[in-house]
Order: sequence, then structure tokens, then C-alpha cells
Amino acid sequence: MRIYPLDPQGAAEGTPLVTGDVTLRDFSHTSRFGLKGRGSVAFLQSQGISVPGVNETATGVLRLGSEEVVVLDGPTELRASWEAAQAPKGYYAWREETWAMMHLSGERLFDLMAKICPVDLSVSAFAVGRIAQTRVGYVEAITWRNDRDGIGFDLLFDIAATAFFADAVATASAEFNREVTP
Amino acid sequence: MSRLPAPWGNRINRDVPVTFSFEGRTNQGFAGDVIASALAAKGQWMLSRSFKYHRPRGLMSMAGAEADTLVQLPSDPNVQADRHPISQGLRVSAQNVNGSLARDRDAYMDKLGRFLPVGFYYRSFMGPTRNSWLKMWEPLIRKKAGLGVVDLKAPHADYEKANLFCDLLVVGGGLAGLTAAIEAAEAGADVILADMEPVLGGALTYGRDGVDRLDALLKQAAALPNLRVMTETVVNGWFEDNWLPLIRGNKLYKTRAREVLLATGSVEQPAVFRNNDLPGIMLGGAAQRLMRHYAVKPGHRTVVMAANIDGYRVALDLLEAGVELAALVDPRPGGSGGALASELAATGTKVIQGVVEEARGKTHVTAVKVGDDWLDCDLAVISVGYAPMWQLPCHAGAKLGYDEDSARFSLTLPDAALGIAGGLAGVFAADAVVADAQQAAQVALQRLNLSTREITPVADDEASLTNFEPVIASHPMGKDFVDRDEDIQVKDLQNAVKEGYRELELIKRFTTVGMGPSQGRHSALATARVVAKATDRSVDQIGVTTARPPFGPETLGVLSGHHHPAERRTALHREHIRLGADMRPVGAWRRPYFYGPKVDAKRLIEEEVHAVRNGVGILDVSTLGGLEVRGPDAGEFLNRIYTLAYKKQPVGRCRYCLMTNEMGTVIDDGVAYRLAEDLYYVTATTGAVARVYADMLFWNAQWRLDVDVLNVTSAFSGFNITGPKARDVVTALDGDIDFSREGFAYLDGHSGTVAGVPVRAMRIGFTGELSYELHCPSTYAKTLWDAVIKVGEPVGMRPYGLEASRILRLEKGHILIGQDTDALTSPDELGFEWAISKTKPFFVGKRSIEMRRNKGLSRKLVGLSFDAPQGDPNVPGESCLVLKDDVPVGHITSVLWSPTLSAHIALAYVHGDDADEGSVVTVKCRNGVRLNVPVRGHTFFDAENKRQEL
Repeated sequence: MRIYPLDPQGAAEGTPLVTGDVTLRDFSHTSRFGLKGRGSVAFLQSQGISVPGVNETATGVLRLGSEEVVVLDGPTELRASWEAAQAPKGYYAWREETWAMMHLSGERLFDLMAKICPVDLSVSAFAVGRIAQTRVGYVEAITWRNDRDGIGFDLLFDIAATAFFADAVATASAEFNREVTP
Repeated sequence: MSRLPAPWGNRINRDVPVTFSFEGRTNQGFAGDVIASALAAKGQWMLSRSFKYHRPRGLMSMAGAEADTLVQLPSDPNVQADRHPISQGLRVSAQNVNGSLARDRDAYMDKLGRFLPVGFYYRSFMGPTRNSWLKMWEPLIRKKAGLGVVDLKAPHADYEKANLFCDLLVVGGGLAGLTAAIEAAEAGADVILADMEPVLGGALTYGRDGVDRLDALLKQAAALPNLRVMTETVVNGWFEDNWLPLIRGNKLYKTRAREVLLATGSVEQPAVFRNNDLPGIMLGGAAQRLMRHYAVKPGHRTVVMAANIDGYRVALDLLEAGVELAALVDPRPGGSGGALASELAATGTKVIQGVVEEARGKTHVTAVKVGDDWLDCDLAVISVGYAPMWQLPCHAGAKLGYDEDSARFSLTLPDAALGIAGGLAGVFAADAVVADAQQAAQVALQRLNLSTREITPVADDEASLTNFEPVIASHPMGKDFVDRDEDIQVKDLQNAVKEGYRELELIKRFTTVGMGPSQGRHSALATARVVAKATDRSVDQIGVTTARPPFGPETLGVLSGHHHPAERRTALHREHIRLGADMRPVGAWRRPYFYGPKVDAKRLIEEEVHAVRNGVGILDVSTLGGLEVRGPDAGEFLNRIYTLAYKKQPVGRCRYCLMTNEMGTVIDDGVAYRLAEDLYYVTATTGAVARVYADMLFWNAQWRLDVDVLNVTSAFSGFNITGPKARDVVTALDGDIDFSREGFAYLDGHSGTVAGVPVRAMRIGFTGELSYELHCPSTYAKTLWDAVIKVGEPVGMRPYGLEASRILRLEKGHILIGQDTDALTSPDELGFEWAISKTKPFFVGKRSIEMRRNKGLSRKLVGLSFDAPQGDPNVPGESCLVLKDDVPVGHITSVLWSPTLSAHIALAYVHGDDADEGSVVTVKCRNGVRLNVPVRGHTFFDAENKRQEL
């Protein structure tokens, strides 16, 4: 049985995820097939997967480098196909293990992102489809706009920092209950 | 003193009285009052005592720029009384007083001025005896120094940080800033307008002719959604690439602006004359602020010293407020009033050409001397000139110059996305300021590639009358202050020059001029003039001292923000807690230190050690760094990174890794397990893996080998099952890995499935016992752990923590990188010659290791043991010195009580000549006791390695 940090018996079990002005949700169970290194893009393209430009995302495919890609919720047979393929085909990147995956949304989403991320993620500055590889909530993170049920950001970050990240978001968003930001 | 009628007092709400206390006495003001205005309204003009002489001081600028208005709040020292609003129940007290503000026992210091000449402390605090500083001066100064008192029990406060971005940041919300911000926003720019005051308008809010113009501008600004106004916000510095910290209350806005326009105005300069620091002597802007902002009449009878048009405006304001104008003193031949001179003359005001030469009064001004006459007054208003707020532009690299004709500083900007406008740019007449600000906005718009328009320049008809350079002569009796913050008089600067200090930066350090809270805002111009005269140079040649961020004081809380120490958890974090582990930070990780109640720590740790030595234990090693090195050149890559050889390492074998840097210094170690021809799984130390990974990426970029490196530290968890009964445990696990002695040799590595979990198993350990290390993807860690625990129960397996692990490794003589090594440790110093390949042509650090070897060993790590009972103070601690001929030659790096050996064991650096076993070295304990002990090998337990190779 696989256990992710926020699951029962997981490392971050019981850690509250904020809701309200800002809502943090866990999507760490999302399947992630990551490749890195020479041949990664060519292999995915050979599987009929369209790979966007570097630091762009489209149809669940994140291009993190010239030869670094993550496929979210991809075909279940993708890993088997990759293992059967001849090199160069990239190297397995363990993205379902290295990273937690979360989603931030809410009325004060952009105020929060301004507090926990040094990149300008405002609507006018950060288009849908772009990827920021930066720091969010004091940890290195990858984020992009993903409007699941309202405007929001998906995030990938060090899975070992799950509880810490959730706490950092909760602390940062607590300000919204105390004072008005500009 | 009652308040002036409306419309005076545009910041107070007379319907909302506010009660507060000052120096224990209850006072009442109105909502909107600041501490100083509310006190002034009650006739309380003295707010503090001066820093050195304890002279009575009051407000001068009403702009929060000087030390004289700093007061103490219960949990907040050094609060600016002329900017801090009163609130119900606020308790305010004076600072820097011995006794009370009214009866300061240290006021006698004012009489001792001639015994405290400038720079006296450089000489005085050296004597009279060798230890005078420590025994006499330092305690005395510590008692006297400082202004406010820090509340060590201050309640918790929340400090926030946020990032802001904009096309244009306009700093300063006066006429120039407001106009420029509106101009840019109307052209479509995303604009932030920041001002330190609670309302926009700057001098328009208190000046004589600003109200109508301000109302129109505020309406325009409010209608622009792309203009964000941030009041009560201090822009506290300029940093590279237009990064500026904006501080509002407890929040720091880290702001990145594509363009910055500074419209911070200019700061009014005081005049220098004897007793110019008496309460009741204030700048023209202060008098206007008191009247227009707070409806406070600043005095009953006044003398105005005016060397510019603003001085005449203040005089007319004072007359309208009902203040008797004894005289207007104008030093400029021909007068400074321009068109207002006749308006003032029509009031019958007496205008005297001359200067105020001296003031008198005990705790408040009672008269000023002009020529031979003493003019009675309780208010002296000074409007003699301005200096630009040069700090922010100078942070950005602007140069400050001085024009002798206009007697003004001017700024030359660097070639950057930065502009200035209004008073800061030396433009004063309102219409000229508007045109100047619009033009500055247009320049920014052009650089932002937004639409622009032509602006018609407007001549500044007030420029020539703004400043007047007076003759500054030292009064024979002194107390003519150039810098009120630091109690620096004219003669202090002159004496510094006589001492041989000619350059301003040195004079500043010798006299402390400009070092106070105002940071030279009120003293720089006069200082430059005094020093220029004393050194027979021009003011332009003297200049001002270097301006560096921050512009104003900022709290440590604002810099800190939220306190968020990093925390990483292994996949078994909850399991360790369930088992009662004492979790402690190890870098960012939390690891079990031992399992069980803290009160039994010592016993429990020893039990954990014994469990491993006599049975079997299990340690969570998930924090170990994990790196996958893969690709056709992976072996060659590792050959270059580490000191041993890996290219021919068989698949399914593990090999020790020692990493050195270009200096030949040991920086990390680990194990490389070759899973396939093109795949190595490499461990690194917990603390160094990030650096090792970065180094690998760096070298890979240099060497361009066909290799990919991936940090899988979080992706993989690991447990070390160790002890004589370890094989009993692992062979009981369900899976396809043969853990038998024959099937799994020492330093073997096997991959397979255990308990349904994909596992990388290695026969390696840190304890010297038979050990198996099982690594698996972290989401499976709990499943694998549970399986191992279950089969371990019948043989009494118990989890052990970090402290037992440290003891076990020291008993076995394994080093810890970072504890037993430092920034210079070479492999030879560790006795690790065996870990250096002699056949490889290259690895990082190889040449340095050889060169260092040729120089001989100055020290070497050896084992020491101490025959003393546990807890005996005559045992050295970590870092205690190793001596040779009474000279330190090394130190203890690790020392612990070994429960297995019932002895204290240690690793230590000793002199290279004393490294052979049996050599006797001297170690100095913390209590000073010196011990002579024989050197022994690193390995204290099972030196023949029989146990780990069982």
C-alpha cells in the first residue's frame, strides 16, 4: 500500500489544510510520470504525447527543461512502454515520489501568492500555460495556473516538506483574518 | 493652550477625545493627533533630553526626522512622537532621562561640555589603567548609552512580508509624486504611489496654498484603478534592479518596479546659532503642520527667520492663526519674500535684515537675539533653506553636487530606470513642480513603451530664493548645534579639522556627526559648510557622507517576518512519534534521537546500543542523501567525482565513496551501489547532499559527459537493520531477494521485491555489525517498515535513534563528515590513503592531495580513550585542545561514553609526528586538567571487522 504524507499514517497526517479566503488541497495521489535526461522528449513524442515548450504546460504535460518532462494523469501503460523502449529514452525521474502535489485557490489567492512566492503570478503577468520554477512557501516549488473549480495554482514541491508547506500557507493566510492588504 | 478653530486641524476629529498619559500625567487629545501635537496643545513642549548634554529638547520638524522627539512606549522604544498617533490609554514616557524629564539628574552634563570635547572618548576610555575599559568605562557607558529601553517581555506580534510588482513606483505623495503617478496611470501604467504620511499631499496638506489643488488631485487619483496608493509606507532603500523595501506597520513589501520615480521632496534645514535647540524653536514646516494638521497654535509671540518665500508664507499663516509676530528676520540683502514681501508688509510686520544670533530660555525659548536686540518670544520659526532628500537616489548611485550661486545641493542621476521630480529635483514653485513631475512621468512612460505626450516646461520663479548660505561662526560660548541628535556643535567640527581630519567621512567617524537617527538630514548641509570653511574648500568638494540603506529605522521583526524554520519529515515520522521517539532537528530533518521518555534518555540510549551489539536494531536512514547517476558515462563520471574507481565496479556491488574538492579537502562520503551498467544509486550525507548534487550538476556541465543526475533523497526511504541477528530478520521477509550469507555477501547490493515493495538492498552499515540497508520508494516505506518490524519481533529487534547510532559508529571508528573533518581535512589526515585510487588519471582534488602529501602531515586523526568513570569531569569534551610542547596542534572531534567498552572513546587530531599507535599526546580538559594519553587506532571495537562480515 502506498501512503502519501497526508494519508492516515503518513508523515503529515493530521496537518490541517487551510480553507476560507485561501484553500489548500492535496493532490499528491495524482499519477506523475516524469522523465529526465537525453531522449525524454523524443520518447514521449513517440508515444503520441505533445510536449510543450520549456517552462510551459499543456494538456497535463509539464516541460521543465529541454529534456525534463512530467506527464500528469497520463496513460497507465506509459511506464511499461518506457521500460520496454530502447535508450535513449530519458531516465525515470520518480516524480510521484520526490514531490507532493497541491492546489491553492480562493478569494485571496493572489494576495497569498504575493506573500509566499517571489514571482509575479498576477493574471496580467503570468499567463495560463506558463510554469514558474521558484520558491513557494519557503520551499523550492514548481507552480502553474490550473483553474480546477475557480482560479488556482497547482504546485509540486519536496514531498518531505508537506507539513511544513501546509503550515507556511496557513501562517501566511492568517493575516487575511487580521488586516486588509492593499 | 486651546486649539485653533476649523479649518485648522485637518487631521484631527474634535468629536473623538482620546486620553493618554505622558510621564505619568494624564493628557487628552483628539483622534488623529500624534503624541507631540496632543502634548503641544496642552503646553508640553519638552519631549526629551539630548543624547550627551541632557539638554531639554522638543519638536523641530514635526516630520519624524530627529532624535529629539523619540519617546518610550511600554513595549516599543524610540517611537517618533511627531508621527505616532495617540490612542486611548497609551502610556508614553520620555527617554534618556535620569529621574524624570522635568528633573533630569544628568542635566548637569550641560555644564561639563568643555570637558567632553569631540572625540574625547577615543582618548578617555583607554585609561587611566590597562583594564579601565572593562572595569570602569564599559559598565558606565552601558548604563548611560542608548535611548529607549527594550521590553524583553514584549508580547508576540505578527510581522508579514509580501512581494509587489509594478510598472512604476512613485515614492512620495506630495504635489510632484501625485501628479506624476496620475500622469503615468492615465497613460495605462501599473503604478504604486507610496508615502510615509497617513494622507497624500505632502506640503499641500499643511502649506499655505495647497488645499484646492490637493482635493482635485486626490479625486483624479481615486478614479484610477491602476494607481495603487500606499500611505503610511516608508520606502526604506533602493537596491539593485529597482528592488525596494516598502514598510507599512509590521509588513514588508518587497517591491520590484520596472521604473522608479522619486518625489521625496526636500528637507527643511535649521539655522545654526547659540541655543538653537531650545524647545519653541522650530522649522517653518513644523509650525504649519501643528496649525493645519492639528489646530495647535505653536506660540503666542514669535520671531520668524526667513531666507526664502516659504518663511513669509509661514509668517502670514502665524498671523492668521493669531500669533503675534514680533519680527521677521531676513538675512538676504534685498529680501527673500518675493511677491509675498508686500503682503506681509501690509500687515505691519517689522522686517529686520539680519540673522538670529542666539536664543535664550531655560526649558523653552524666551527671546532671540538679532543684532544687538533681544526680541521676547515663546516661538522662533526658522525657514532658511532646504536640502534634497538625497538618500534614496544616492542608494541608486546618484551623485550630490552643490551650486554655490543658489546655495543648494543638486542630484545627478545614474543611467538607470530611475527619475526624480519636484523638490528633490530642485523645483519649488507649484506650477513648475507640476510640469516637472509630468515630464518625469513621461520619461518613465517612454521607457515602459507606453503612450507619451509633450509637456510644456514651466519656469520655477522661486528657485533663486529657496536657499541662502549664511555665515556660520562658532559662538564663543558654544551650544550652537549642527547635529542635535549627537549634540555636535560648530566648534566640535572645527576642532576635528584642527586635529587633522579634513575628509568628511573621517570627520563623521571622529565626531559622530550624522550618525544619529536623522542620519544627517538636518546636519549635512551645515556640516559641509562648516568643514568647507575650516578647510578652505568649497561645499561641493566636501559633499555629504555616503548614504546607505536603510533610509530610516526598521524593526528586526519586519526583517524577520514569520519565523519558519525549515522542517522535513521522513515517511515514518508519525510512526516514530507513535513509538515514543524524541524527535530532534538534524538540519531541516526531524529524526528520532532515541525512543522513550526523556527522563530515561541515558538508560534508553545505552539499551539501544546494547540491542544492536547483542541482538538487532533498526534505524531510519531515510534522511541520507540519495542520488541516481545514470547514463553511458555514469562510471566515468563517478570516477572523476569520487576518489575511488567505479568504472569497473561490478553490477550488484557497493563501493565506498569519498569526495574531495579542488583543494583536496574531504567534503562528503557515501556508498555507490551499481544497479546496472548505466545506473548507480549513490548515497551522500544528510547535511551535504544538496551541495553534492549541486557540485555534480556543475561538473557535469563542465565535462559534458552523457550522464544524468537526479536527487532522489525524498523519493527513497531507507532502514538499516543491524546486529548479530540481522540476518534472522531479513531472511524472514517475504520477497525475491536472497538474504542468506551465501546469496548476499558483504558490500553486495540486490534489487527486488520485499513484502510487495520494490527494494534496493545493500549490505552496508555504520555500526560495525552485520547490516542490511533496505531502500524503497517513500510511499512504500510504512508498508516495508511494518513488515520488517513484524518479522523482527521474535528476535527482539528494537528501533534505535540517532544518539545510539553516533555511539555505535564511534565505537567502530567511522568518521562523520563535518564533525571529524573541517574545511582543510585531507584524506591523508584521516588515514584514508586506502580510499584514494592510485591508478586513475584524474578526480577532483587529486592534484591537491598529492601536493599536500608532499608537504607532509601537520596533523592526523587518531583514536584516544580515557580511563575514567562515566561523567568524570577529567575527560575532554569535543573541541578540547591537543597540545604538543604546550602549543595547540589539534583538537578532539568526537568523544562519547561507550556502553559497549565502558570507557570514554574519542577521535582527535594530533600532531603528525605523534600519530603512531602508542605515542603519548597531551589533551587539555575543559577544567584545565591535562591528560597524557596514548594514541590508538580509529577502531575501538572489532578492529578485525569480523562482525560486519559475518
